[in-house]
Amino acid sequence: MKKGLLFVFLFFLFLAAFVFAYNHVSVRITGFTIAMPNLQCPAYDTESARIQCESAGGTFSTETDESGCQQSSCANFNQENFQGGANFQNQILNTQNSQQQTTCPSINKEEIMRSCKAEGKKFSLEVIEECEYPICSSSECPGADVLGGEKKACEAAGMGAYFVYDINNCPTVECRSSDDSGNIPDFAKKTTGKMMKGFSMNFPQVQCPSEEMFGGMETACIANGGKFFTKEFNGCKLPNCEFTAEAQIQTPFFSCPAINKMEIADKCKTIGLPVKISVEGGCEIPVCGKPEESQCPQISEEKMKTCEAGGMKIIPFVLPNGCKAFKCTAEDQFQSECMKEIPTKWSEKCKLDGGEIYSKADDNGCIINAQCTAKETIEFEEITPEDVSTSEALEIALKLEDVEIKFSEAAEKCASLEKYYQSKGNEDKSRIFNKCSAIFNSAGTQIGAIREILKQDPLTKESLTEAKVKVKELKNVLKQVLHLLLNQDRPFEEIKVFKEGNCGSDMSCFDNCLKSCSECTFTPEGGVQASVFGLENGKCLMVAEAVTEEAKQMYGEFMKCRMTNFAAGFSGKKFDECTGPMAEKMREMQQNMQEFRGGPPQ
Amino acid sequence: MKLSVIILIVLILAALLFGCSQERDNVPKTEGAAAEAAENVTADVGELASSLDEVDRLLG
Repeated sequence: MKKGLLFVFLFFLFLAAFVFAYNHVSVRITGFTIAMPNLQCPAYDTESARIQCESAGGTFSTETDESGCQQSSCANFNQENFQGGANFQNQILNTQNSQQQTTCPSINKEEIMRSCKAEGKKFSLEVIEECEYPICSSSECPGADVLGGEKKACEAAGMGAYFVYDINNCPTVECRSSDDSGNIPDFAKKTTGKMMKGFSMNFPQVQCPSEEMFGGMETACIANGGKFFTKEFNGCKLPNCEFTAEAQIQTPFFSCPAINKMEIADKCKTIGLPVKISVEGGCEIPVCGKPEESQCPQISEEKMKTCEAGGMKIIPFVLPNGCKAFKCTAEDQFQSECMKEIPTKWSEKCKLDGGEIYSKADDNGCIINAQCTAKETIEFEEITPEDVSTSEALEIALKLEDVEIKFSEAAEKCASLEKYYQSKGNEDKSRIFNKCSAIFNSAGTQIGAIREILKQDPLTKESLTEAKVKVKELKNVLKQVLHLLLNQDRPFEEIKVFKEGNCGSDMSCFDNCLKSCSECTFTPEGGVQASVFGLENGKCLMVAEAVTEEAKQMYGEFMKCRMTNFAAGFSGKKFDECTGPMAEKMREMQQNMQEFRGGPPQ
Repeated sequence: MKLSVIILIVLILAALLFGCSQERDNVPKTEGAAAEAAENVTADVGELASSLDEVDRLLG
């Protein structure tokens, strides 16, 4: 009897163990649902529209669309006299704004129209917030709906919307901090921007620095041995000073310029430009940056903390120029004030840069995350240990720990998907997720390396710079993964991640190629050829060989590298995952290279 | 008696091992589940990018 009971007990224990082990999965709360907002019709100034249409000889009518909103249309208008009629149906005027008394600028439209036609350009009238603006352009300009949307996006983010004219004479919107926040440069307040047309609008105009002040900068730049030039940014011409240095070839894989960083930094400071660190192909090169005022607005950490402490919610925004911004709002206002559309201009810019936009909205249609997959230039201002407080260092360490775990989880998810598609015989998707998993694993190792750097006590300028470079490089690696995942329905071979193929002697191209372990070749000067062959058991396979007798003598015949931490690119590589005579030589050369300033990280 | 107990203990251990390996594997079972998992990974990448943005900002 006892034996029987024991048997039954153990049998049930067996069943329980199986069920527990099989079903023991982690539960993750992914969000909550809030009711969808009520659809509101845009407010139309019907009377104004009617007058405008009839004055152009058109027939005005209104009708109700499928959503119950009133739409106006203007038929048979005279296009010669009124080309702006094409945008007629898009005259969406914000209800809130229409309630306020708006003062429209006094513009001689007739005269502008005459001179425009005389120049053979296209004339049109755009209505922006109840006021008509004449547009004389040689190409298709964005309509009032686009401009209005961008203006609202700026304002929603607590920024001022500034209208400037681009090279085609088309109006375009720029977001800037308002005068109150002190972000408009002093020099800008003194002068009127040369890009602006000769009429004023009922919102602040963008003001560019006067070219008169460039003279002093140019003299100082040249006197310090730099090359002076101007660069267009946000519709303004901005001064730039570049200090070049002759590249010194150190090894076939590293050709960082032998430069004196301190000297360049001093020179930038002398001529009043901020010092920035630019990183390309594993080389850190100091450059003189743009004036602070022309950069993306600084996000105030303090303001964000005050916002959260006050029980308010932070709304993320992306401005039309791609700058990220935040707005603090009451919890119940979040739904109505959040970003629901990606700014057209940012999306176009992202596409031009070779990327695409990824956006994620919550159940209410509020965009909670938006990323452009185009590679970002690694450029940032010098960091000093004083810039990072102890509490911030702790916050970074905790965040990185969390990120490292998430990388590992994402790698596992990709590995599971790889197995699934392998079992289904879908080779393309299996390869995509294999790559995704390997990149995540490698990126996780990089996070570990960053944490180690930040553990140093005290933190130095060099360690902080190294950590910052690695974080920025990882951001670009993530963009590659995002690009890969957004294109997962395409054949694997067709998905180009940044740059692939023949990199020639472009070290930066090869470095990027290695970071995503994409197949490519690199032929640096010195008779060496290197090729990345892709992933092999989760490791990135790279082979380099000397193609000339001289190179064989100098660098050794060949080396074969199986890299686990390929996401780091060549920066920080010690060739410790490489074998062959060339690897030995490279390690030796790297030791000798440490004395050079401007070389790759030690 | 002893033999049956040993067999059962071995079975329990085998069940535990099998169950745990199933849990770790977490391979999607259907096309729909795979598509959902892929979508989740994409969202994770977006979140990770935001986290790195924040670390970048905190680093000055």
